[in-house]
Amino acid sequence: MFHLHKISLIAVVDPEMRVIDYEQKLNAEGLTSGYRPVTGMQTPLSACLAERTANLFFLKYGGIEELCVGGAVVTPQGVAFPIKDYPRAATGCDLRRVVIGSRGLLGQFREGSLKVFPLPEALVWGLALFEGPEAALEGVRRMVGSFIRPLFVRIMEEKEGSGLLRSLNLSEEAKVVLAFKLGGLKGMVEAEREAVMKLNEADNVLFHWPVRPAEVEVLDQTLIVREPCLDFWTKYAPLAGRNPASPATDGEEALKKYLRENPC
Amino acid sequence: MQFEPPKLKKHFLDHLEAIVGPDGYSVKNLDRFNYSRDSNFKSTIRIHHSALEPLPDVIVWPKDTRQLQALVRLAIRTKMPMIPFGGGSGVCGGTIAETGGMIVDMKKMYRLLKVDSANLLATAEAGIMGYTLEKELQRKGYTLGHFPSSILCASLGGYLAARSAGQNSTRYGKIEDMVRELEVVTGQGEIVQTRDVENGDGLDLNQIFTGSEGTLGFITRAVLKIYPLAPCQAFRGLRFKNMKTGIEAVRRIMQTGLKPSVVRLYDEIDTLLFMGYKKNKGITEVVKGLASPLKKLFMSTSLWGALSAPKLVSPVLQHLPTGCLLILMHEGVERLVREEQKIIMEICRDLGAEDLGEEPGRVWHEHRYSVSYKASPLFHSGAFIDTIEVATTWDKMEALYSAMLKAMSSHCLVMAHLSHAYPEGGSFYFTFLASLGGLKKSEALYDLIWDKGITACQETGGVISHHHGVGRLKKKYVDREWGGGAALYRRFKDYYDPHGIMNPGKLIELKREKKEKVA
Ligand SMILES: Cc1cc2nc3c(=O)[nH]c(=O)nc-3n(C[C@H](O)[C@H](O)[C@H](O)COP(=O)(O)OP(=O)(O)OC[C@H]3O[C@@H](n4cnc5c(N)ncnc54)[C@H](O)[C@@H]3O)c2cc1C
Repeated sequence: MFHLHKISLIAVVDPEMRVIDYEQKLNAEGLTSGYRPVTGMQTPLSACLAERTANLFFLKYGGIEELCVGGAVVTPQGVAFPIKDYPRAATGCDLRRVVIGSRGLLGQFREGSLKVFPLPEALVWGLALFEGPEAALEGVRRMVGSFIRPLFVRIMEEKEGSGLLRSLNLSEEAKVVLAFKLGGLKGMVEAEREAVMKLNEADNVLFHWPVRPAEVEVLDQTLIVREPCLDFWTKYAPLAGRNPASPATDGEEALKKYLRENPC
Repeated sequence: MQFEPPKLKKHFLDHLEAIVGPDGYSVKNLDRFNYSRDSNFKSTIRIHHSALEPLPDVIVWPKDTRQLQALVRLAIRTKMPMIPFGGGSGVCGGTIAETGGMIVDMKKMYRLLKVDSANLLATAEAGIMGYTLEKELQRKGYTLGHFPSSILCASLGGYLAARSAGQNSTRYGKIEDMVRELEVVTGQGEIVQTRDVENGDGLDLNQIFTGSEGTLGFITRAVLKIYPLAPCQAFRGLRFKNMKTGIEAVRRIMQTGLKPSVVRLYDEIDTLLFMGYKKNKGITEVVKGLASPLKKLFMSTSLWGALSAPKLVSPVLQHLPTGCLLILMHEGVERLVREEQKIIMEICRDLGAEDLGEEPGRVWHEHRYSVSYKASPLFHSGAFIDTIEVATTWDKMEALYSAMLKAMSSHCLVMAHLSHAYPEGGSFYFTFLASLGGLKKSEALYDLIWDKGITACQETGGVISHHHGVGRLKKKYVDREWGGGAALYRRFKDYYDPHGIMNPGKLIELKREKKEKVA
């Protein structure tokens, strides 16, 4: 099952579909899911919904819980119910968001309605060279605080950062490299590029904007495609003002126990 | 007016006093009367006719989480209903003591506890008023970005419990996007801490309590996302030929991925009223000529005449040649604001919009909190008013708008604006006015208009509330809204409120709701 509502930019999918197949179907229509699960593109959407699998592109598109706008759910006791597609509601707790990430305890999606987006008109890699990790973190904070939302950010300390610069034939030595990828409308990406530089002007941060296809390929491959990114969220959550995965609270454990004993 | 005395026993009051002290509660009739309703209009109609809502037995003002926990334990022992009360700005009757009991006013838990500038997070107690919270944050160079029209009279706990959305939500998100952690005293008498589970697995307790309208427990504290204040703001007003082209423009804007902080599209009648503001210079002569008489009509005694024949008046008003006004507000780094404006102007021009310049946007911004407080004078002109805010996806927006307008307009004057927009859809905010008769007649008309509006909404596939919540007003529609999903909420209710003391009679019909009150 795959159905596209082009007016509302919503895809209705069978959650057993793998993210890679889903993304390819959308790409053929000039669209993207905005979703790159840290467990890899082979993961089925059902697992992503059940585990709330982190999205590598969360800064721009949000997590899976923000991408899901409705669907059909079946509870552990077999009660099936639809959740209509809607952008937002104030009708009690958000059933979509409580089912997502519950590992089936509150239900499983049998059908998912997910937001989709136009493929970005422009994509630009940026490398910013900082004196230290704190300065780099501040650089990201400035970016995010100014609502510049790259698809991806990564802070690389000395060894890793220098390695990346060398692979791009750049001669600078840098203590810390901040790599980020901007995407969206052409005019907006250009404006974001200028704004990022302006935001860091006072600190004399050096920027590179690799544009040659070979350079872009190196960056895409090294940082996005091959990145072993399971610990990604722990590292990058604070960049979005989110808390890195913390252990479940006593309250959460107690509710889980109750729901196991008294399934819905 | 005659008030029944509170049904409280001496030993209950002794226990209460031991928890909150002699100044921490009141059983005075004046307080019980004042706390007998929130800002919902059905109660206003009733009060207008000297008809009372059920009175609470006692009002309590706890100062901290421990006192609140002790109160919940006392209520469990004495089977006393408890109703959380924030600012009382709710418009769905969410704080009405349907079966009597204890109103717990949270306003003495009002502190902003921490601003973490490294992680851009703020921690505050739930009783803090929205305006105070925002002012304190702005003093430190930050904003929550949450600006409901009720910011002057709503509390943080109320924002969370009723799933509030601010006017600038396109940029900053709604309250559920801002919340990171909560502290809750549940109806079991336990203190529960929640955590931020986004992008990681685990039960999302934040999303269970956000929107629970006081039916599961008391939200006592929250950690929220904050932002540095934007260095630049810009405004714009544009006029579209009709709602169809206006809606299409908003859809295209949102689907480019841009996030102007405010996007509001007014239909013909709403445009006309908006344009009535004295300071509004950016308006055409046609609109100027119409705006003033209409405003006078709404504020005058002849309103009753107009409202007695809505079937005749509505179609005329809906076809006024005012066009439909789009208000935009942009915030952020100047370079980004300029680019965003440029792209949006291109989209709007392609759809034939007329550029009205900055003025309408600035005027809207100046009046953004005052417009919602115009209701009271209308009662004196022989009319009542209310608002219905619903949401749906773009493919259904026009159908939803037309269906609700059609369903309601033979009973009242009705206007709407598209108040919040998303890439996948948006919300419509309907305002209706109808003539006030005797109590029974007015209540029946009020219920009929709501029923027509909400039924049309549900039949078109919309959701029955975008940001006001459910309360007492819409609970009869919630089972249909949630379908089998109601089973999930009922499990949470069984677990967090096993004694059935938390805000009875709200959010959803519960079969086991007990009508008795004992203390
Ligand atoms: C003029 C006006 C304009 C408005 N504009 C907007 C707007 O732009 N956007 C919007 O979203 N809403 C708006 N509203 C509706 C209302 O302001 C919101 O619903 C607001 O969030 C309610 O907050 P409150 O503190 O007044 O809550 P209350 O009215 O006191 O309570 C609302 C509900 O929440 C529960 N509750 C309150 N505090 C707690 C707590 N600490 N723990 C658990 N439960 C609690 C109550 O029991 C009740 O069920 C408007 C209302 C008015 C009168």
